[in-house]
Amino acid sequence: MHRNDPHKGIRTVLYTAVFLLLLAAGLTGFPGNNILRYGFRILLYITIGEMWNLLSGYAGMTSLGQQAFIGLSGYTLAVVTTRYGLPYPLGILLGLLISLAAAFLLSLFLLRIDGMYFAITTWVVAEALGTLFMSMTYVNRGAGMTVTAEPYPRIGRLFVMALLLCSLSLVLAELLLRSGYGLGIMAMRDDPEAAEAAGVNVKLAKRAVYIFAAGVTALAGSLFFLNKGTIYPESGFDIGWTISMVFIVIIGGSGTIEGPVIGAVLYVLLSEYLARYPGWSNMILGAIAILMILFCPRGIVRFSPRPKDHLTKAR
Amino acid sequence: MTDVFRMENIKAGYGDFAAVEEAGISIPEGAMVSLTGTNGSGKTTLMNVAAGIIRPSSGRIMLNGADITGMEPEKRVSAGLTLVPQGGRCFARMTVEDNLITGSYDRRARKKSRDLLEKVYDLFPGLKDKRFQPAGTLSGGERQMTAIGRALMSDPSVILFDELSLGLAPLVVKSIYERLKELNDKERISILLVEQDTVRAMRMSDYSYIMLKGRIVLEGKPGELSGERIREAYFGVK
Amino acid sequence: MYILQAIVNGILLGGTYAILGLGMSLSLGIVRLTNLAHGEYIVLGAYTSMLLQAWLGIDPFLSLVISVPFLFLAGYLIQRFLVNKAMKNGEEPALLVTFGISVILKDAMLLVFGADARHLSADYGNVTVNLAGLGIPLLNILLLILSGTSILLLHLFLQRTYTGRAIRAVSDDAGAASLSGINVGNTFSIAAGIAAATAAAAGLCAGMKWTWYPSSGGRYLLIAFVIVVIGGLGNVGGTFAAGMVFGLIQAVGGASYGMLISYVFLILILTLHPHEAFLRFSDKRRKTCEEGIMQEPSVAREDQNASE
Repeated sequence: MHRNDPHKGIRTVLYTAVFLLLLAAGLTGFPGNNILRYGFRILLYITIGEMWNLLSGYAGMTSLGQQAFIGLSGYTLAVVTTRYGLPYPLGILLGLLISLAAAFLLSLFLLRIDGMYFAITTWVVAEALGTLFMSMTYVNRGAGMTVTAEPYPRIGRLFVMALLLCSLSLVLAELLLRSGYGLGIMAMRDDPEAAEAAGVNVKLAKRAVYIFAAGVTALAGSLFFLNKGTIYPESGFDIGWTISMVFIVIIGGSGTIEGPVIGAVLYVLLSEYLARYPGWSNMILGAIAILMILFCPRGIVRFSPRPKDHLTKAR
Repeated sequence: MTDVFRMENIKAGYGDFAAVEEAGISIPEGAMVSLTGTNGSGKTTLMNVAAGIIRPSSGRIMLNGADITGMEPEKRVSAGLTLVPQGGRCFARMTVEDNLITGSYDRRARKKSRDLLEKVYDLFPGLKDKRFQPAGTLSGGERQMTAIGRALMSDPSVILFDELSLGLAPLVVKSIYERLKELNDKERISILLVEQDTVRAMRMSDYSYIMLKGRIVLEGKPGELSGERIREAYFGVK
Repeated sequence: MYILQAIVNGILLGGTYAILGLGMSLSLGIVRLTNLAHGEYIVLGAYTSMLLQAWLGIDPFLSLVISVPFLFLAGYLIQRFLVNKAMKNGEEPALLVTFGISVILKDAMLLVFGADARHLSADYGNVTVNLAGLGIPLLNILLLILSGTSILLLHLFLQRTYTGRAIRAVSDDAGAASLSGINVGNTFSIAAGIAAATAAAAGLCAGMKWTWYPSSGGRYLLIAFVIVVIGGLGNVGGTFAAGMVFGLIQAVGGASYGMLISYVFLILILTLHPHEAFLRFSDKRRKTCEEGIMQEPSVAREDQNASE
């Protein structure tokens, strides 16, 4: 996290080892399908949680509408593979491109809006997309679509794809934050005017973060629906995606890279455990999130002062 | 004479920074006291401490013999202490009369609200003509009068004025000062004037404090403070 | 003739839309917080009326006598014990807390009432009044009267009472309000309680007009947003007019496209004039209080600069 991390070498070795171990596990299928299925979900939730964290925790853009990109990419995958009978990698690629394009277009007007209103507008956009897909015959309206692939990828394969996506997004996020850009982004969150005065191109930095997060979230969405096999407007554009991202980041600690990793593991295990009590799981997750916001706003990975405080004091 | 309001050994600030290093003032009953000092000397911070907006890190605040150091701002109003903040800060979208009535929100003042409103209009007849106009549309002087009126509506025993004259034309200030003198004489309301302009505020007051860099550097009755001593205080030769 | 009828009904329904937006307008205008649980409050109001009708056999309109205080209390307590605390840490934590409350309420209602579609019915639900050749449902007229009355009462409350003035004062300048003896936190809670109380009436209107599910809150919340954005923040009269406009959009656009049109409309307004739409008045002062009523940052900075 810090530029002069004394354990940098050790960490790199450790992370690479973990990555290789997981890669081997996925390729051999050794841990068994059940474990891999858990692992697949955890990796994807880490990815989307990390992206929401990048938006909200680092760049100060709290979005409630990231499900727009999950829905878009999921539907693209379904349309490409089922309606046109093309291979699924093409569907994933196209989903990514469409989401990037959508994110660019949206950024043109979303970035004019701040704070709370940004959050609401992103949510309205996602809802509007859901409503649109609900009434479009091209995507079978509310009846949903299936994803077809021949042969259908096995869980080991999906796990490896999720692992690659997750690692790549973590590395890219880390690089982004370490770059001059990253410092600018954080300065921007703490005081946009001061950041601007200090020469950070706030608009450009925000746009870059927004589009990057949208692209990665879209890829995660494709993998989710590749695994699931069917998509409906209510599942693609579900506000539940955002609920999980918020939970993961709040629990783990926003504005840290490690936070969402722990948050995602807890989220998947907890929601798996709570699945035994149907109906209660979201309530319990919601209550935990509220308690965390009120009593432990920095999340469980961090007991040191917020980076925010450091920055403000340093100024 | 007993002190109606007293601040003792106040230290306060923001984060690690202490804007008020060590300051104490007292206002005898029915007196008009001035507190002057340059911009940034800590006057406004001291006033925010007095009103309860900022908690002091040490020191004690007494009002009518009771310790109010830890009291919430709104409860201080109820106890008889009101601050007219810099610029007055009227409720811009509310009418003048609604601004005034809001001043007697506190239960104790509510009972007297009708009489108090009458008094405010007697004091500032100009406000009565504009009572149904939103305060945001008034001139600076009228807004300041509305703010003073709003403070009076809480039936205070002490009013603190933070930079009353800021941004107002000298004639307007003069007329407002005259009204304050009237209040002080007739209603026996104790007043603290916090100003940057030492001479004018001191001329008005029975007792004066001069604050610099977070400390009270000089105090006394206006007659006892010679221009030389004031200049000395200001230029730090102590 | 058909179009004329649609327009008349659109305007009558405008009352229902207006009351959906009323609570949101209050909480945004006064507490300056988007209460993402407001839609769930409305659904909760509808269920409350439904239960009262089922248990006590009372008319849905009469059930307001109980559902209004009940929702007031719920809104007040949630604001007082959860949201006010989160607001001290900033706008976004508070927003996320209301988001959490929304999730909890939605699933709690799903658990208690099941996923079935519900509807509030009364004998006069299908009566049609013939006015100048137009068949107008009596229900639409009653709903317009209810919402008009609620809005008028609220307006009078805000204008004429000490608490109403305190609410407006806090929305104007919370710091100055506390210097005038007003407890800002408590005033926020009362305003949030009132906003929730309007949700009881809104739930009744929506529940008599349409079917609802435990998950309908999001839809209501979005409608509320559109109304607030069209009508202006904390502007009670504007909210009423906005309801009419929205009713007309729905009447002309039809059920699903009407909704889509309003989404696009909302996004457009938010994009083109985010600040004009929401913060039409002196907002800088309010920022002071969002960072905690106890702080006066501009002053702090001034003092700091001068002494450095």
